[in-house]
Amino acid sequence: MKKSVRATLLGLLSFSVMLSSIGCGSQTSTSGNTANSNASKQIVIARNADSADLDPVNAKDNNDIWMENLFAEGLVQSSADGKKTEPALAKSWDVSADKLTYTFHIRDGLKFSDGTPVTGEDWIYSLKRARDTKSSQWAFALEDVKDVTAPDNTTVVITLKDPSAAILSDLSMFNASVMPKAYCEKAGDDGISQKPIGTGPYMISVWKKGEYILFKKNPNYWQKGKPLTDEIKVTVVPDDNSRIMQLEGGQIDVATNVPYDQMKTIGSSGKLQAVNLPSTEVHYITINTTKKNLNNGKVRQALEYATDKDALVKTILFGNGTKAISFLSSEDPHFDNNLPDAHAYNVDKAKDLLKEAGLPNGFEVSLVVPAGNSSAQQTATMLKEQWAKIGVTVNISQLENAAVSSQYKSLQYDIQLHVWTNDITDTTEWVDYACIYENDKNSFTGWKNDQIEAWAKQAKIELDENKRMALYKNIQEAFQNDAPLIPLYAVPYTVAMSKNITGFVQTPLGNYRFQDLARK
Amino acid sequence: MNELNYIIKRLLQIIPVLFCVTVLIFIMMRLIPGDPALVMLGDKGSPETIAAMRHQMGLDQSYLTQYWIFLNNLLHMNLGKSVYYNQPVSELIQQKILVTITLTIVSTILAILISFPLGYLSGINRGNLKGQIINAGSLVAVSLPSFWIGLLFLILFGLKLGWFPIAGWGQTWPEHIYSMILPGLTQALATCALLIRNIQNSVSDILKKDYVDFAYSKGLPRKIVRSRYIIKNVMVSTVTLFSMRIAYMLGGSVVIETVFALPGIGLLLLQGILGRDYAIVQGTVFIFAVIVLAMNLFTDISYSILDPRVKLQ
Repeated sequence: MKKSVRATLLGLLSFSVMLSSIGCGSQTSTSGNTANSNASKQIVIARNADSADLDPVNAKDNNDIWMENLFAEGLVQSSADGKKTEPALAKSWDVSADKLTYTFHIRDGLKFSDGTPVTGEDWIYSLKRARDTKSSQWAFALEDVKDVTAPDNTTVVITLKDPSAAILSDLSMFNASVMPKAYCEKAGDDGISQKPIGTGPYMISVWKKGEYILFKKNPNYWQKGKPLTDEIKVTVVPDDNSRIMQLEGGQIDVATNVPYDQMKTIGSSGKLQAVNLPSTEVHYITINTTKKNLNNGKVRQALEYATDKDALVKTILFGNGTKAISFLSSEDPHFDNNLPDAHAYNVDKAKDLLKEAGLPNGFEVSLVVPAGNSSAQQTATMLKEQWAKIGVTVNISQLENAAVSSQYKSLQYDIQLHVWTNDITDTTEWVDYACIYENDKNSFTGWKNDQIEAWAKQAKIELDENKRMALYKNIQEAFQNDAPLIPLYAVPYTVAMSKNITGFVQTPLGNYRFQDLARK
Repeated sequence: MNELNYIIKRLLQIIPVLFCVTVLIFIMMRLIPGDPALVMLGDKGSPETIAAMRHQMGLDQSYLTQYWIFLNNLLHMNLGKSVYYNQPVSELIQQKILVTITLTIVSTILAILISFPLGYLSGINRGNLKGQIINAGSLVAVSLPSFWIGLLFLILFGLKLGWFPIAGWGQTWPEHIYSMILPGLTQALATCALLIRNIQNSVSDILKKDYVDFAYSKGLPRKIVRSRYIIKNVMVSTVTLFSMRIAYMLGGSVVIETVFALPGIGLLLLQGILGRDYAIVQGTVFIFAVIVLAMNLFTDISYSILDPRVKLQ
């Protein structure tokens, strides 16, 4: 008995020694990859999910899109505040009198990260590929482009089918980035999706799916002295708490997608900084206006009157965000700063409107939310409570996102909760989606307003900024009155980082700009 | 010879089972609502883009054709290509299964190290205080949700004490194994609770058997009675339970992988289901089926080794 106990104990002891020796050995090397030891060399950023396809043309969602500017650039780019378009690889451009020909003058001596020079052929190939890839959800941005030519390697001429107010903004989108033709043709779509090459400050060095992407400094980057940090490692840590703990433990430098409820605690901890970066993300209720009761404008207005948006901001966003009164984000260049809060929370007014609509006792409405989306579920629960005050019964059910989306696109729902983020600086993208029926049944509300649609179409081709502003002002007012969507709140991008991190830039469109990202 | 025949027979039986699995998983994925092209393109996809994407994914073909392509690829050892990741499913599984296998091995070792001594101890001490403490402990371990235990371990051993990395899976093999200890322990706890109960019951049953008394009365030393008479008999029922747990663990745990940021097979499958990436789901479920069937066969073979009364025929 004694012997066997001793043997077991010895076995256990040797196992634990083995483990701890592995532990000690790796602790040094683990910390080699962590934030602290590589002070000037590597910055580690953790996010909640990995990218899927980094090909700028076939980017799928924000996890792809936000990364694109690390390695890819186009003729122009959105400014850091997301409000205007500024030069990127083109140092200047001329516009013909008929506004149909744009001649871009490209910077001299540009090279891709693999060392090959950027040629006119590369520009023609990249821009046409962005326009003509049928399965790309971003092809719409270049639909006005008639042709692309390049008289020489530093001149790109783009001709348009019709004058377009948003063309520069469209060209600043990630899908219009230049990529080397020879490489792309050899690699094919699959190859590009895994290892796209561009002229950006970084290049993809290692990508371990679901684990991390390691970006290394592009030695051929055109901005001298930049980027400031040699390597950026973007890791995937799906659990919010684990991500924040890694930051507290010094294992990473930056944590993105920080839950709203943790922002205050992190900010007041003294060791870390919690930053709300402005975004164009607006959360809203989509109403299927083809359904009974909901087809009545008064009913929709009543629902907005009955919605206490301040309470939503306080409870769901923990104050990190603002109530939305327009379907456009306040970060949008054409947001109307003077737009009144026409349907501010007012239960009596809501009841009166329902009475006028012949529904003094309210009605029932179904709200389907995607399973696993906690903020949508919280919002739904609060709406149920708030609308009960005017007699409207909300029947909440949960479905998987894919099923919710199918109901949405086939107009087989009553109300749903949705989110919009702009991809270009210009207002056209969102207004096209929400106000021009033929595109997407006006963000799948089934609602139609010919006047608004005419204004939206006019604003697309109107080149005088003042006139455009006036048109978008009209659109916002009329849209607010019709209320096919009920804007709820606008949210920032929540980021937490060590106090010594500087230069973390994310434009309101979501794109990361890490040229100046550094550790003090 | 009998054994070999048996194994060949069992291997041949696997073929129709796997065929049924392919049919089932193919039908089930297509029964759940949600168009893969819609999911892929999100709210911003226009009808034309969606149509183009459906064509690219082969969804515009008949179900029969789609199934035939899937089966034909499978027969050529090709699990298809993930539309979401734009990568062959076999490559994705290869990358991720390593994490899951490592986690399974580490948690299996930890489960054995914890549950065998404790199970045995509680078996011979059934009814007294020692046994009851172990019993209560295993009951608590099986009742606590693993995400909670995982987070607790991370806070204590990762953040406060700094003994282990806070989530992640490292770069080198020593780091991989080192970073697997906390998740391994978290996963092992649930298995331990089951095993301890099972071992405890078996031990106390076997202790009452005549052959144990007989062995003692023959004057055999305790060590021999334990290893040859008690532990060997305990193993028979434990192996079944354990192999089922191992097969289950190889399926990947979404909870453990999420909390500890491990890029394993569980998250891949979840991603595949939520994103309606048919190739990923079909591929991983097929591989799981193969693993489960292989584990079953392995269990049956190990039975015959542990219990001479069991004949493979």
